[in-house]
Amino acid sequence: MLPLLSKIREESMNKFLGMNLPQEREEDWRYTTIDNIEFTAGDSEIMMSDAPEGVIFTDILTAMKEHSSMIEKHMKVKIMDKFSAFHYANLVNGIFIHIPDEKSAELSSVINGASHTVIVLGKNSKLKYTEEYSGTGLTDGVEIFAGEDSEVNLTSVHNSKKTFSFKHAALERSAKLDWTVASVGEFHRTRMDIDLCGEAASSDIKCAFKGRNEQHKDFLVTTNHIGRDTQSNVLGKGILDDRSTSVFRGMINIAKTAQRTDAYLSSNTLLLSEEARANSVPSLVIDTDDVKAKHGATTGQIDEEQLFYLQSRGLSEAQAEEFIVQGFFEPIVNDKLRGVLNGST
Amino acid sequence: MLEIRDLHVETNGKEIIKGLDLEIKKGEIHVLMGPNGSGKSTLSYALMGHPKYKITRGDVLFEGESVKDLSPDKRSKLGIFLSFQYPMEVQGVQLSNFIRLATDNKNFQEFREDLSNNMSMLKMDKSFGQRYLNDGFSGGEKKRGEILQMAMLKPKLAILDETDSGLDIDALKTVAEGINTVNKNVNSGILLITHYQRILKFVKPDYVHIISDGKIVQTGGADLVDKLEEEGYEWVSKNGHKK
Repeated sequence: MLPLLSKIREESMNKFLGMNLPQEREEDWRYTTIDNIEFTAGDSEIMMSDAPEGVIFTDILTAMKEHSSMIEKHMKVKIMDKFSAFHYANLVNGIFIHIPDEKSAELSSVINGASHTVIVLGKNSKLKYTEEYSGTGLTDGVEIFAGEDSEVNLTSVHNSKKTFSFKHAALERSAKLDWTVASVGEFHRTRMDIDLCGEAASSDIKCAFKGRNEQHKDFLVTTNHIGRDTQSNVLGKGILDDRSTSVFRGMINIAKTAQRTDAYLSSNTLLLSEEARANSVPSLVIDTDDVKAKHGATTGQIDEEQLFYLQSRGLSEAQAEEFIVQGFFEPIVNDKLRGVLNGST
Repeated sequence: MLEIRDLHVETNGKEIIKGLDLEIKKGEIHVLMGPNGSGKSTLSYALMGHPKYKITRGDVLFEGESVKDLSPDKRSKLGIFLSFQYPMEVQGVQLSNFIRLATDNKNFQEFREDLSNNMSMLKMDKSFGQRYLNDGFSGGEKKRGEILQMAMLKPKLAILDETDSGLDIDALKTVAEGINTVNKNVNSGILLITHYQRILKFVKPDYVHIISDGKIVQTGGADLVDKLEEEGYEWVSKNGHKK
């Protein structure tokens, strides 16, 4: 086995064995019940689109052989809990993307099972990337290193059975990240950590989730403002039907160094049944003056006045509801996501 | 076409309309005026079938049939339209797509032309159609949007609830022109509910009714508006209940 890979796996396995499952009394897990977890790695299969010349788009094992210095420099093994420890301890498959300075690429992948993706963007490079997850993989991870003035536009679609996702991004000066995560699977916990390191770096994170039956969606999105003049926006948008549940935790940390930061955090959840439950927990930690930071959350059923308005123009109650539900995700979706979120669910 | 007979309406357990009678024939323009709290908006909601406004007595006949138990969409399909005082914002639904669904016009070319003509009449920029329904619209834009929907739906009866409020003089003229055009082209009956006289410089009513405490207390021609302008609503309450 590759020395780098075996080191990561071995160290992570040791941590995994020494860790307990998170307890409900831990604040980050308060609204998420963990049961029937089978720690099995399982198979995984990845399909990737073609890449333009000069761009590296390959599986992570090949990358560890052929681009080991880049991987060693940028891959940060972040173990926060037993699931992330398991993730690295069973690292067998994944993707490596490198966009050299000044280059741009549009890429996509379809991932069935567990995987780990590392994305490195050179200076002033651009990437548009869509990744789709399905299957029974217990964990998946994405790490992004965005160089100066680079721009990343990412769409992650999760439609897996029971998954813990780890998403991390570090942005250098004036780098821009636009990331939409859509979750429609059975049980999904997504932990996102966005580090705005360089000055004037900015991130726009949109989390869309849709639940039915007993499905559960859990988002923990942390934005760390480190550089000055950094901007962030985090929006959670979900529709819950039947007895489905959700928790949306947004955390904004503004460091002493992050003067003139602008941060906005909001979540809206639409409940389509009496039994659906949504929890929204914002948290702001500000260590400097001269910042703008705002948050807001709404949770509610379809507005009766909106229904009446649409009905007064001849739409039946069912049509009017469908209109409101379909329109709900419209401000944040692209063509890909429209099908996923407004599909048969 | 519309016959309101001894109408009583309550909302939140309180009776607001207390025995109101009104008849509107095809193509007629009726103006309903009255002070705040007299029941103007309650009447418009009740006529359109808002679930929170309950008709406790009396009836509303539209083309001879009672509509008081029909859902709002059924009333709309019969040809009743309500222009809202505060139109609702619906995110993610484009105005033009919404109107297309509401009009149920299968002929796309014809729909496009009709929409384009009506938007020009109302001095609305084409980009309006792509914007989400009332989302981020200014007060004036919302009212133009309501008149646009009325012009597209071509109702037999249009109830306009304070469509003139919050408009500057240019917007007021445009909206009034829209009302007159629909009245003339479609022969719609109009029930124009207003608090102010100023729109009546541009829309000429056949009848003017004054509502006070849930009842119509005065009915007359356009001259009633002048009288009201001179004397104010106090004159109505002093001389009320004259038919």
